[in-house]
Amino acid sequence: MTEASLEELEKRLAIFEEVAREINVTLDLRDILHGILRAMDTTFGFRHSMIFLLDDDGETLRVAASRGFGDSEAGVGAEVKVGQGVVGIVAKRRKLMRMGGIAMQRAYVAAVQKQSGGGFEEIKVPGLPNVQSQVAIPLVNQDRLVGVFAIESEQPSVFDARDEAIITTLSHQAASAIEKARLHAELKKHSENLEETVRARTADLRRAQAQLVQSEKMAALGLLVAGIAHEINTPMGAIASTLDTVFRAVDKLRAKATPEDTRIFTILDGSQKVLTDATTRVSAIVRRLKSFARLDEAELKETDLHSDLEDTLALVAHELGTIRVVKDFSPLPRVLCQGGRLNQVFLNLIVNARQAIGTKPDGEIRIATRAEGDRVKVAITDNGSGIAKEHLARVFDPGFTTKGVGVGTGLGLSICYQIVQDHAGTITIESEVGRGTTVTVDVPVRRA
Amino acid sequence: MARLPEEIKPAMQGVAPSKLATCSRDGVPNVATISQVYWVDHEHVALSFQFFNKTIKNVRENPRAQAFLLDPTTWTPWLLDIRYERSETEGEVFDAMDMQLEAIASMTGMAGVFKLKAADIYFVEGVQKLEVDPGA
Repeated sequence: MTEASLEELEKRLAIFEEVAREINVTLDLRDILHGILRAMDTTFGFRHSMIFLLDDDGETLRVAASRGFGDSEAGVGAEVKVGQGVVGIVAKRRKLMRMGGIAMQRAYVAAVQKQSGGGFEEIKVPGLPNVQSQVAIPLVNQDRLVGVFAIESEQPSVFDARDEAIITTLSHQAASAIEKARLHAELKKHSENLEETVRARTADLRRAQAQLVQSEKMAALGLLVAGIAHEINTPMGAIASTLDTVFRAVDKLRAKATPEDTRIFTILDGSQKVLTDATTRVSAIVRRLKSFARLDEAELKETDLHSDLEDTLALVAHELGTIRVVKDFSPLPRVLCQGGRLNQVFLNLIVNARQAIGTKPDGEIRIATRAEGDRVKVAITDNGSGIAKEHLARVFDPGFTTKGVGVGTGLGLSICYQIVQDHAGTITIESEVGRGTTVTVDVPVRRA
Repeated sequence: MARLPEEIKPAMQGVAPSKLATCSRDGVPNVATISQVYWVDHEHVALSFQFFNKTIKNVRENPRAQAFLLDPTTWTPWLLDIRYERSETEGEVFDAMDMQLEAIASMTGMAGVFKLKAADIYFVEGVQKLEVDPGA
């Protein structure tokens, strides 16, 4: 080996090292591709170069980076099919190709075809319009075709075996760097997907957990209410029966009474009415409590939603105080549902409505029911504070609340949403700040 | 025996068409334009056999031929005395020629029409570098 060729080899090695350094400092695909093309231009004088990457379909090569065709994005995205043109054939055969007289060769083929009376079609491929010389090499990494690297010139016969050697060496580095960048990008994408999945699963989990906690609370409340109802019912039975005995005895005494006793009996009659009304009312409340706290909530039953709404209103009657409740009820078919769970929805919505009204005078809660085809709608409207537009989209998210600390947990509407969804229904909300809110529950009469 | 010099290579890249003179068994000459004479090694060149024409018929009958090449970078003409040796339908030379032809044909919608039947290998018996005629 002569001293000159040793020097040439040394220079080339140094350049390769420099290129390798440039493309190995980044994992960004675009930076790598431009790094390769820049190195080809500045160190070897290849003015026009392109890197094509193979699409996932395995049939299309697309320009991913180019240099020397105008701006840095010139031609990017242009495609050529595998098997078409120099680049396509190089991809198809996975072999380097060097040509020095492309324009003449094309003209020759066209002339021969014309002479023999046949037609031909000029197929446009990405690159220089009057390309004469081209070297194209497949970019292969671990036996997988990644793309094609091509250098071009409008001058004929400008590339030689030395140029072939240069781009052959660089192609190995390029293929490996491109594949590395691709894998990195893929990994990043997977990682982002994973994060998104974790976020979604966490929200599901929180919702499920909240629902579980709420279900447990409702079950405990149900037991408590049922227990209290039972405890009240027993002495109430004794009171009612004793009252009956007492007033029968009073009736017997009435027969023997003197005219002076008339005033006493008038008072006793009044007391009897008060006591009878009171015991009847207590019995009705106990019945509603038992109805509200149905412990068979997991079972699907044909349910009268109006009766459920009445039960719920009875339970919160004290809480509602002076707020006017308007029952705009239309005839409804019986709905196959888990009555106890829908009660939970109505209770939440009515309590929310009440809290939105706060101390506002003329507070009103309107409960409207409608049957529409095979669905029923229950809309609960209040004329309270309303919800800001920016909060509306989030009101069903678990943990989201606009109520103050200690007032709301942010779970109520999230649980309502879940329960209504479990009934194959929808829950929607409309609100305007200062005017009030309407929450509409829409459930099918029969689940498919 | 002649040896092909390296400096002839630019004339073998298909930039300028070449001429090939052949002669039939009974002495009738034929001159045809060919798109490219391919370098094989210092003693051999290859010509593409795509269609069965007069040139192909002649060299099968009479293997001696003469090729005229032009270096597009210097306009230097070259004359090669060549002798048809064999036809190859596989191997490195065939593949390289076939690949180039397929690439060009695919750009003119002629893929499948312009197909390489064989790479005809010729032995180089004489090489002559002609002077560029400034008056021509």
